[in-house]
This record gives sequence, structure tokens and C-alpha cells, in this order.
Amino acid sequence: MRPLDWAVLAASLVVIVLYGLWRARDTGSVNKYLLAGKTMPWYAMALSIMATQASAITFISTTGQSYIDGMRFVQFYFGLPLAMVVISATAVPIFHRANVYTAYEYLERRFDAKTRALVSFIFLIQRGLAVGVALYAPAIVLTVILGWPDRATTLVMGVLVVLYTTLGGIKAVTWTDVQQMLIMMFGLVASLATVIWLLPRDIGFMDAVTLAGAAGKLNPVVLSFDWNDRYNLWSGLFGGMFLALAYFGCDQSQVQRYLTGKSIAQSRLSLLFNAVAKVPMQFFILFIGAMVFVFYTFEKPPLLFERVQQGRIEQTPAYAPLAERFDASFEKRRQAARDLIAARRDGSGDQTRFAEDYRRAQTELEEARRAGFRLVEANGGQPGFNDTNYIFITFVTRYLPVGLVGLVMAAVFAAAMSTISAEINSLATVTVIDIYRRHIRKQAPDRHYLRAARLATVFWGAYAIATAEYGSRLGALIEAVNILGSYFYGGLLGVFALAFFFKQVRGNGAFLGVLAGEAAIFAVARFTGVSFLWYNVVGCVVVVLTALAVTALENRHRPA
Amino acid sequence: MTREPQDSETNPPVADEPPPFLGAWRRVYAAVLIYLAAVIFLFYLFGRAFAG
Repeated sequence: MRPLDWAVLAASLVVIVLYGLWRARDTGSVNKYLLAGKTMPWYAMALSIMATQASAITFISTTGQSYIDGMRFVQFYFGLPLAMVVISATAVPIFHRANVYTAYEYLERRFDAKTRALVSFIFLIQRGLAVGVALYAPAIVLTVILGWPDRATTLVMGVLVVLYTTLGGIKAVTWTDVQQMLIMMFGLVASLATVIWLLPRDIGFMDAVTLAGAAGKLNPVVLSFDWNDRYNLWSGLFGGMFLALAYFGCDQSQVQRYLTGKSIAQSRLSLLFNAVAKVPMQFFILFIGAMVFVFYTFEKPPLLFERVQQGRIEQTPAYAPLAERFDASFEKRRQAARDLIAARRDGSGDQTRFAEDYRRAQTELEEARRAGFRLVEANGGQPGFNDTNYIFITFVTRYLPVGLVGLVMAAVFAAAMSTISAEINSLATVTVIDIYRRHIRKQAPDRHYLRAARLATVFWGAYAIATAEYGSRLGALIEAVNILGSYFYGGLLGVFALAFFFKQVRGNGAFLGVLAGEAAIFAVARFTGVSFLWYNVVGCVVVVLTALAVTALENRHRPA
Repeated sequence: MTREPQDSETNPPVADEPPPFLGAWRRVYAAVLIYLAAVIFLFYLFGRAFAG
């Protein structure tokens, strides 16, 4: 990065924080601090919901995923609009009318205190695990790309987030999210424009799309069904819907966004905006990855995009023959691509043959890269190493014009900060409302709880930074922590399904149902190869069936 | 004042309003679902058009 890039990055971060604090001048009560006094317009909530979901790793790895695996990841989001419709019709009016700070507060009114405590506890574990990773994961990538110590990256992001989240509460979080989302979108549009502009002069946009398609990168809909395949139409629609129902309907980090709405209608509009905008937006991000792939068809990519590991394997004797093999495959693929485009323009019958050559060369190139991954593993690298997260950022830092690099880096920081601020804010809210106010200090003035909420925000912020500090020692555990986090949504979803749709179920049924649902998810994860997208379906179904069975037993033993 | 804050006192009663377009929320939901089906169909056509 050059001085102008640093200036753009620093200015973007300062403007985001100051703007958020300016919009959140009045936070003198718990209600204003945690719910913005229920004054937020739909567009601010909509962009905040979108920014919260788009973490830095989502931002930088989605494009890389498309480069490697094509656009089929977009199917992961097909269930989201379905979930948004269900939540708008059910959860939004129920939560608004219940006048609650947290989704879990509603569970006590519907069931009992132990169910609320159990679900709040599950949320604190799940989000507590995630918040440090949300801070540390982008820091690893930025450290490799920018050459910073990871401690500096986590500290800069962490301190800024804690500053505006503590001082401004949810209003600051929401308005900074709006800024951050706009920066992310601008960064993405600029990246797509640049990658197309950087293609060789004789390769037009339609040529690039043809080449991406011929390499199998333009596969946004896969109709075949496979339980173990994460991304096909059916797992996206059903598994994706259950995941989105759990995330947007039961996770306080999202529920709190739309609880700040001026009215039920404003909250519904914010969710429905996401229902309409999210899938095309993901398509757009993945399309950038496909175009980066085409760019690297003509511009030689490094064997590995992760430069530290690339440097390490370059020192090994096995590297030279591998690099030779990689270079030969690259040249073959470039030539086949040119031949394919020429045949397409001529309309000659050789198109099929050149497309085959192109794909064969692509397969050889991928095999050489996989051999590179194995070389990393053999030389002390992490088992299962891959460089997907480094592809887009490497492209940005090497090829984008000066100034734009700083802007895209600001977008990466923005993506990380928007997610972390929402997580810290929601963790603090649940800590104060569902634990402290409910079980520890039941009667106190409003200003006492306001102070407690600020302190809880600082605590969770410090916790996130501390966890991220130890991130380097976690190593491969980060992946495990991420996966573990996904085990809890089925239980949460099940208990809210009971609350909304099964009026006969009472506290004991709900409580035991959640425990059984979580046990079922852990068992499925441990003993089967079923994709994680289906865990939420399994968990939710087991919660409901167990609760219905417990309720039936209770009714049988109840005195007439 | 030493009692637990009651949210119903700090927030005004919440009214359900009609959507700003299409007249009823059911129609808005139906429009979103039709839109989703159309988007998936367009993606499918896009994938088929450029499949190698």
C-alpha cells in the first residue's frame, strides 16, 4: 500500500467512527442505548442487517470461493428470502408487541425463566466463541497481505469498535453499519470495474464471461440433490432457509437491529429489503471472483496466493519442478483460452475441442496448486491448508490503482467492524437484560442499567480483543470454533418455533426440547457426514418433537 | 426510583401499519416469493447459457 492508500484507509475509518458517534449523541437511557428509542427508519436497519451479516471473511473469501469453486455458493442464500417472509409475518409483530429488549426476554413470557436463561446462555456461548474469531480471522489475512503484526490489526479494529459501540450504543452501531455497507458496495463495484478494465485489450466482457463459463465457474444453480453437498438448489432453499430463520429470527445480534424500528412496518421493510437485495448482491460478489479467475487466465498468478507460505516452499527442493509444472499448465491454459475465444468469434466448429483443451489445462493447473498445498503441509503448514482467503486481497493489493487499494482495505475493515460491533452490542444487551437485570440486580434505577450496559460492552470488546490476541495460538482450532458455533442454531430455532406455533407447549417441554435438540445436532455432527446446513433442520425438528412428547406426558399426569 | 425498568412505559404502543405499496403484507410476501423464483430461474438460464 502506498501513502495515498493509507490516507484513504485512515480517513475512511475516522469518518465512519465520527459519523456514528455524531448520529448517536443522545443515548441517555437504557431504551435509547439498546433500542435507539425505537426510532430507526427501515433503510438504516436494512443496511445494518446486511452489514452485520457480511463479515470481513465473507467479504474476502466469497470472491476467492468463486475463483476456486465457481458461483454455486450463491445457492446458500436462496433460503434467505423465504426466511425473511416468515420472520416478517411472525417474529417481527410478536417481538414488537411484546416490547422486549431481547428475543430471549420474550421466551420467559411465553414459557418460563429457566428456558429464557438456557437460551440466553446458549447465545452467549455461541456469540462469545464467534466474536474473537470475527476479529482475528481478517487480521490473519491482513497481516500476510500488509505485513503488519496481527496484534496491530486486531487492536486498531477492536479499539475503534469498542469506542463507538460503548459511547453510542445501538444507534452508533446502526449508523456506522450504514456507512460501512456503502463503503463495501463501492469497493466491490470498483473492484469489478477494475478487473474488467485490466483484461487484455482483445478480450471483451462477453469473452471473459465465456471463459468463466467454460471453466465451470458460472454455475449458480445446481439441480442435483446430495445430502453431503453444501451447495445445491435444495440444500440452499431448505437448509439455507432454516439457517436464515435461526440467524435472523433468533440471534440477538440480528433481532436487535429490527427491534429498533419505528414501527412493525419499518422493521418488516428492513427485512424484506434484504430478501430482495441479498441474493443478487451475493451473485455480484461471486461474479467478481469469476472475473478475477479470467484475469488470472492471462496474467500469471502465484502458485500460492498466501505469500508467507509461498516464500517458505520456495526454499524447498521440491519447489522448482512444481513451479515448472505450474508455469507450463498456465501457458497451456492461456493459449487454449485464446484459441477458444478466436474459435467463438469465427463461429468455427473447433470451439468444443478448444473448450476441452482449456478445461484440461485448468485441471492440470489445479493439480499443481494442490501439490503446492501438500508441500506447505509437509513443511510445517496447517493440515488442510488452502489459500482461498488470499486470492481477492492479493489481486486488490497488486493490481488496483493507488487510492482504490486503500478504499477496498477500508471496506474489509468496515466488514469486520460492522459484524464485531453488532456482536459486542448484542452480547452486552443479553448480559445486562437477560442475566444481570433478571437474576442479579432486579431493582435499580435506569441509569444503573445504562452504566451496566456500557461496562458490559467494554467487557465483551476487551474479551474479543483478548481472544483475538490468543488467536495465533489457536491455529486450526479457529475452524473448529467456527463449526462449533453453527451447532447451536437448531436449538434456538426450535424453541422459537414452539413459542410461535405450538400454543399447547409449556416451559418444561421447551426446556427439555432445547436440550434434546442440541444433543441431536452434536450426535449428527459426530456420527454422520451430513452437511452442516442440515443441522438446523435436525435440531429444530427434534426440539419440537421432544417438546410435544413432554407436553403430552405432562397432560396425561396432570390431575383432572 | 428503584424498580426494574418496564419497557412498555418507555415505548409507545406498537401499531401494525399497511405496507407502503401493494396494499397488504400478504401481497408483498407473495411478490417477494415470485421475485425469488424469477431470480433463481434467471440464474439457471445464465448458468446454462455459458456452461462450457
